[in-house]
Amino acid sequence: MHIADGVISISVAATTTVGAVGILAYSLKGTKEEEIPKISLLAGAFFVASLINIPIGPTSIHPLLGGFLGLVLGRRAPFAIFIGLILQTLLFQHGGISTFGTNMLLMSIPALFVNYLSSIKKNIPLFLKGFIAGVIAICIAVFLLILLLFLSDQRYAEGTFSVIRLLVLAYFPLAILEGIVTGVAYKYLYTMRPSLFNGAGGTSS
Amino acid sequence: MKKYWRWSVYLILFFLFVIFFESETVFAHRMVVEPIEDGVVYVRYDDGTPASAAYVTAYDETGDVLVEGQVDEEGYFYYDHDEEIDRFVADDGLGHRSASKDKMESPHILEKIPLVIRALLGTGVVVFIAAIFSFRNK
Repeated sequence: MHIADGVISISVAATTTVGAVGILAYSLKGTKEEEIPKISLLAGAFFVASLINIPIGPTSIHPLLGGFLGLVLGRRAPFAIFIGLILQTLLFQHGGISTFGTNMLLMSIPALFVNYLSSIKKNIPLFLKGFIAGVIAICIAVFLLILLLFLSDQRYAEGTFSVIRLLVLAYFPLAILEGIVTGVAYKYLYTMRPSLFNGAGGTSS
Repeated sequence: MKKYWRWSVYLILFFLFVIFFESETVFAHRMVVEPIEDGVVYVRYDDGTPASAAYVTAYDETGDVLVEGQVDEEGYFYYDHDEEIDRFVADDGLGHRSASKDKMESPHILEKIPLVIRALLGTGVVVFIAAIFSFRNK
């Protein structure tokens, strides 16, 4: 899911970077010191999750945890994603420097959307809520990736680079897998410690 | 305070789980272009998976396209060209793109450090930050 340098056009990279700065500012606003440990540890989980490689079809994918971060951290999720992405870029050379903002936007928007959905739909069984969050986060991320690639270069819409065909093929299994993982994790954590999902800008369920 | 130690333990266990189960193949998710020999280029993700959707383009020093084409199922691209190729660029259409200097590219300094060490470093940084702020909030 990490977009590498040179894949998207300069105008798309610049625009999304501006958007990422805005989202980061929104995420940072009002952050309390006691929220930092939770944000930091989930940034670590996001960082480590990228090491889980799953070869599917013509590509290799890894979990994104956007739904889980959105449920646990709420509006602070982009902050954790920002930290995780910095570490991934520096230590693993994931993505690229010019596309850092794009990648952050790509992973932050699904988390924020999940947080929004979570705040308006409260009477859902825990596992189902986590499952939906995981699936929706992947679907939104894939939709955004397709959109950004199309905006950058029309050749991604045709022939060898038929993005929709490849992405749906590759990410549909991940959406299901991440839905299950998020559902199990959410149900377990909420049962053990419901307070975890309050505060830190998160949603109370 | 106590709950963050528990989270730290969860994170470290998660890290160990990933390293243990992926120890044979675990590498960062990045595409790599490797000129194997004259006429053959291998494109893979750095977890070892062949990038079978990749499209390879060879350029000369001035940036003109010399040869291009799709890799095969195993990630190999075969070409027949006499001119001096400066670099290969591979793109899988999924957001991954990589370029390589023909046989001359030296590995990035970080690639000389084992992945486990890099992953431990990253995990250590976030656990350290969490610990510092936990103590401050105590």
